[in-house]
Amino acid sequence: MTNQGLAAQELREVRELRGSLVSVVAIGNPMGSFPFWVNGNANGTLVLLPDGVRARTFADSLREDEPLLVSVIDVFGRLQAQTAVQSYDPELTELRVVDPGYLHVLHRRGAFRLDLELRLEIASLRDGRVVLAAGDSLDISNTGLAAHVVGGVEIGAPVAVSMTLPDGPLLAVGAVVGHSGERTRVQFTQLTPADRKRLALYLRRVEIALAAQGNG
Amino acid sequence: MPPANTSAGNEIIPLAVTITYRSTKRLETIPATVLVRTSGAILLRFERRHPYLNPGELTALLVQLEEDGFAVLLKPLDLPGRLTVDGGREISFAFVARDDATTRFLEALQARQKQG
Repeated sequence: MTNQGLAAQELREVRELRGSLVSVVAIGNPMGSFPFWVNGNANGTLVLLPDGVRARTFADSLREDEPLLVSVIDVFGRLQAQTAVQSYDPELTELRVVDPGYLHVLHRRGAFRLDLELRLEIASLRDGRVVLAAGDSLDISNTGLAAHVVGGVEIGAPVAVSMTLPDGPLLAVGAVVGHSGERTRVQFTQLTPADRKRLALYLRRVEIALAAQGNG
Repeated sequence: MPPANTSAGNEIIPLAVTITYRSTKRLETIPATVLVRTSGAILLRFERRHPYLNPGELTALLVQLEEDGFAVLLKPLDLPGRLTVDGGREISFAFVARDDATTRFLEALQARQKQG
């Protein structure tokens, strides 16, 4: 796998993941994914420490040169890299794999929708005039939201959407891209980089909290 | 609409727009007039002392130009701006995003202002 031609924002260096929990999958192996801690990388080797008995059993079952996928989720997406087994030391419980150098950012989260009800205020253009309306979000992603908007808004209408996150208000502009029943879908067209990160972090925290409650 | 007479002495054809901003509790709209437009900023005149913007607080400009509607994010640059002789206020805003939406808006604005 080559990194040539990929923009810097599409890659993360493996060394940034030191101390992080990652998922490891053996390509073509139906055993599933297993948690490993990233211990470090040097001299072409990435050292992973299995987290728990099942991960140790999995590591012990791997063959030399067996292809693996290492992945982790951060606020902007799933990071993934392909690698291969070098060796596993059951006494040190160290899985040594080829250091891929970088993980690719798979932009899954851009469209990942989280069912989340937030009070919204929406300003939209109607017949050349700005109309204010209230609404409630039905789902939100990093790139847009679906909402029930009192009075509705027209498809194609530019809108300004205001919502309150725990750390303060957020204002985005976007366009109405569709209706489905009472569901109005808005795609964000402009968000500041800082607000884009705030929204991504907030959604990630909510997602983790829901998963911890067994609702994710 | 009367001709623009800005404190900066610019003479252009004014264009009515609507600014949407978030006050302390809610989203509010206020009419404004585009006075000067550059590629990176826009000077707007408000008829009253409004809006009560805070430094760094984003506003959205929504405007219908011919058949096209536009929404762009703005950030106030020089709060509290300049008071005008008739009790209004002029405030410069920067475009937050330099993307296709902003470019198309600027082009439409320029075309509209040329038409008068």
